[in-house]
Amino acid sequence: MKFEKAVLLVGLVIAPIASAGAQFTTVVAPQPAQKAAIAAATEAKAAVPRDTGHRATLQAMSAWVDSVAGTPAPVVVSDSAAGEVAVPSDSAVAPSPRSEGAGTTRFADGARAPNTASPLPFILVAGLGALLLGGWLVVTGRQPATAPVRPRRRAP
Amino acid sequence: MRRKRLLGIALVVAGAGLVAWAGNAYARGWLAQDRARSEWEQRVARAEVERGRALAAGSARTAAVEGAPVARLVIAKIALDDIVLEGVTAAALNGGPGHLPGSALPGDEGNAVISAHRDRHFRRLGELGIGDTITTRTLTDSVSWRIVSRRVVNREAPAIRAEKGQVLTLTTCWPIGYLGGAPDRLILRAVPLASRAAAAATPRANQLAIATNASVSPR
Repeated sequence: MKFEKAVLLVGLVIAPIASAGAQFTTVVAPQPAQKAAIAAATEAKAAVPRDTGHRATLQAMSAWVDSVAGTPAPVVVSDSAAGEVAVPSDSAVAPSPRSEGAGTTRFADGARAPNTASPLPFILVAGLGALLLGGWLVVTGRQPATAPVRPRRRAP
Repeated sequence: MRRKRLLGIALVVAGAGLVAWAGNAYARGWLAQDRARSEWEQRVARAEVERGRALAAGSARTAAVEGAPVARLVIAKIALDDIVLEGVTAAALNGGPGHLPGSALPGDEGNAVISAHRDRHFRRLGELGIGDTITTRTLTDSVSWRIVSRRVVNREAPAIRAEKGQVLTLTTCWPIGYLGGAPDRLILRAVPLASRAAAAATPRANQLAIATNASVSPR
């Protein structure tokens, strides 16, 4: 009976943890190609003449999107005398697919506030709860080292 | 008895895994904020040179790389002094308050939107009220802001608005200090008390200065 109660208690602790799995949005898998893309863009930017007639523009979103595809981001170089020169490409405007489901990631009039929900506190508390419960089960489930000695009855 | 013990061991292992996972995320966020602070200090030191270059280059429409430090946010009342990173993705918000891409930088014309997690950098944001002051520092501007509105809206509500003039909007999830979901958002809106522009820099020059320094890769 005690064991059944313990199983029921464990189920109550684990069930919310399983449901929280859908909210695990904090960990983002590293993008190996991204660093290479940024490095390539930075090198290209450094190669631009440092006079005042030229200007380098790093398209951040372009680098982000292109890095997903594993291609270096283009660097736009043009003459500052022409005025507004940084023409974003289509890839620079389009939001990354991953960010679409995560809420607002770019400013727009009438947009929702960015998604700042974090499951970390819940996970931490659930983990601590599981640790404590598990520890209690281990301690109480330990078998006694020696069995108690029963006094023998004497025959009448 | 034996099954009970095995169950306990399994729970201990699972619990330790969850605690380690959450602790790792918190530690990475703390390290990211530490890195951003170091880089921010370097950028401030280089700001004079970059400002001169930006002024010489004229206007430019540029954007900072995601994850790059773009400003410093100080709110004395809640002992907050953090470096604001570009972007509001999960990776950026784990490292610090995030500047919503496409919104103005603090001190520029328009609505500057900064968001952060309610369990970390903005965990005490709910203590702020109308009249409290905020200070932001970009590479070219230091602005003191006064909170003029505080509201809680549904997460689906259109809370971000284009603004004329300088406006700072801070957002986080609501309710703060609650383990479950976050159905609402806390929105604080602030307007400048005073602006102290460093040298003769322009807002666009400010953006360019950030862009030319933007060498931090997203985490």
